[in-house]
Amino acid sequence: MNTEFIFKINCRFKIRQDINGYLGFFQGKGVLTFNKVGAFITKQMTGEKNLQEIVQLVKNTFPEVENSIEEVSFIAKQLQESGFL
Amino acid sequence: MNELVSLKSPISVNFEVSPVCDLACEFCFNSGTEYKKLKHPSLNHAKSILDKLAEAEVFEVRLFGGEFFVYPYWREVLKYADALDFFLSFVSNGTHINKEVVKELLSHRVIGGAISLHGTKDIHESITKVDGSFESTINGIRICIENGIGISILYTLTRTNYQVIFEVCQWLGENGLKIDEINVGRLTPYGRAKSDWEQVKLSLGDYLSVFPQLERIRNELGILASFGDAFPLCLLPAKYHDYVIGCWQGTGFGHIDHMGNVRSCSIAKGSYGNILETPLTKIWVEHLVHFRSLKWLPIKCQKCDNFCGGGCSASRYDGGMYAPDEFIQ
Repeated sequence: MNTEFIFKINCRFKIRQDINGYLGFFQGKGVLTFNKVGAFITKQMTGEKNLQEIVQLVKNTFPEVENSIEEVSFIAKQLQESGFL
Repeated sequence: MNELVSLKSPISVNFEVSPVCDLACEFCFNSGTEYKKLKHPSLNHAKSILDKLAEAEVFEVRLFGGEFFVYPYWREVLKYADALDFFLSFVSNGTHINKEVVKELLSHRVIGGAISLHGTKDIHESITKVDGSFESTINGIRICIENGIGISILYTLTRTNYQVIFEVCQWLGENGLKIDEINVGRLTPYGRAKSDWEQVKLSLGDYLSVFPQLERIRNELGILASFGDAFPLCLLPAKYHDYVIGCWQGTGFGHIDHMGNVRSCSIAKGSYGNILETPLTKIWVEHLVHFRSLKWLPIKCQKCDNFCGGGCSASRYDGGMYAPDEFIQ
C-alpha cells in the first residue's frame, strides 16, 4: 500500500468507549465495534494524515503493537469493505 | 439462552422535546384525551436533558414529540443539540415543515428524518382528525426531499389503512415524491388506541397480509419498504424475515420523554429513571438488567436460534413496560 495514501472516512462519525470495547457511529451507515487500537486508528482517518503518519502515531501510542503497518492496513481494509472509506 | 447486550448508554434516542401535538391521531400512543391541555416544557428544561444525553455520550438524537416543530423553541433546541455535536434527526407529522424549516435543519447538519403518513388523503385525515393535514404532510415531505433531506415514511398500520400501503406508495411516486423508504409499524394498545382495543386491533392474518405488499413496493416501485417494528419471525414465512427491521430497544435505542424519564421503547409507558436525577449511564446499565435478561419471554423465545427479540414488547394489552408479543402464546 502507498505510504502517502491519505485515509478519509466518507461520512461524519464519532467513536466512544463503552463497557466492552469501543463503539463507532457512522452517520447514515451504521455502527461498528472496535478494540482500543482499532478505535484509535479509525479516529485518525479524517483526511489529514497519510498511512505513514498514522502508522507512526500507532507506534508512538501503542508500543506493544508488533506490526503497526499491518494493524493500520487491516483496519483500513475492514472499513473499506464496509463502505466507510 | 439468548440475552441482550448491555451498553453504557443508548446509541440513539428519541427525545420527546414536547408532548404537545396539533394532530389527534386516533391510535397515538403518546396521549390520552387530554392531549391539548398539555404544556410545552421550558427551553432550559429541554437543554438540561440534552446536556445529560451528551454526558452519557449518546450519539444520535431524534427530535420527537408530540410534534417537535410546534415546540416554540425548536430552533433553539436544534441549535443547542448541534452545538453538543449530536447526530440529529427528527420524527414529525410534517405539517409544519416548509422551506425555512428545512433551511434551519440543513444548517444544523440534519440529513434525514421520518415523517408520519398513514394512508390516502381520506384515510390519513380520518386518522389525524384534521382536515388538510394530508396536503400539509405531503408538502413537508416534498420540501425535505427537494432539499436533500432523506425521508423515511412512518406508516402506522390500522384496520383502515393496512390494505392500501402499495397504493399510497404508488401515489407518492406518481406525484414526484421519491422517498427513501417506508416503514410500517405495529398498532399498539397504548394511548388512544387502548380504550377500544378489541375493536381496532389487527389480527395476525392482517399483519401477514402486509408483507406481500411490502414485497411489491420493493420490487415494483423500488422503495425500501420494511416492517419497522419487531414481529415474531416464527410466525412469518422465511422469505419475509429480511423485511423485519426489528427493534433494538434497551440496548442501542432508548426514549427520553419530555420530563426526562427514560424508557427503552417510545410506545410503552413507565420509566426506568429520570436523567435529570440519575445519570443515564447508571439507569441504562443498572435498571434494565431484568429486561435484557429476557426472562420475561417464553422459554421457547429465550432458547430460539433465530432470535427476534420475542416480537414487539409493546404489542400486548396491559403489557406494562414490556411483555411478550401479542401473538406469542
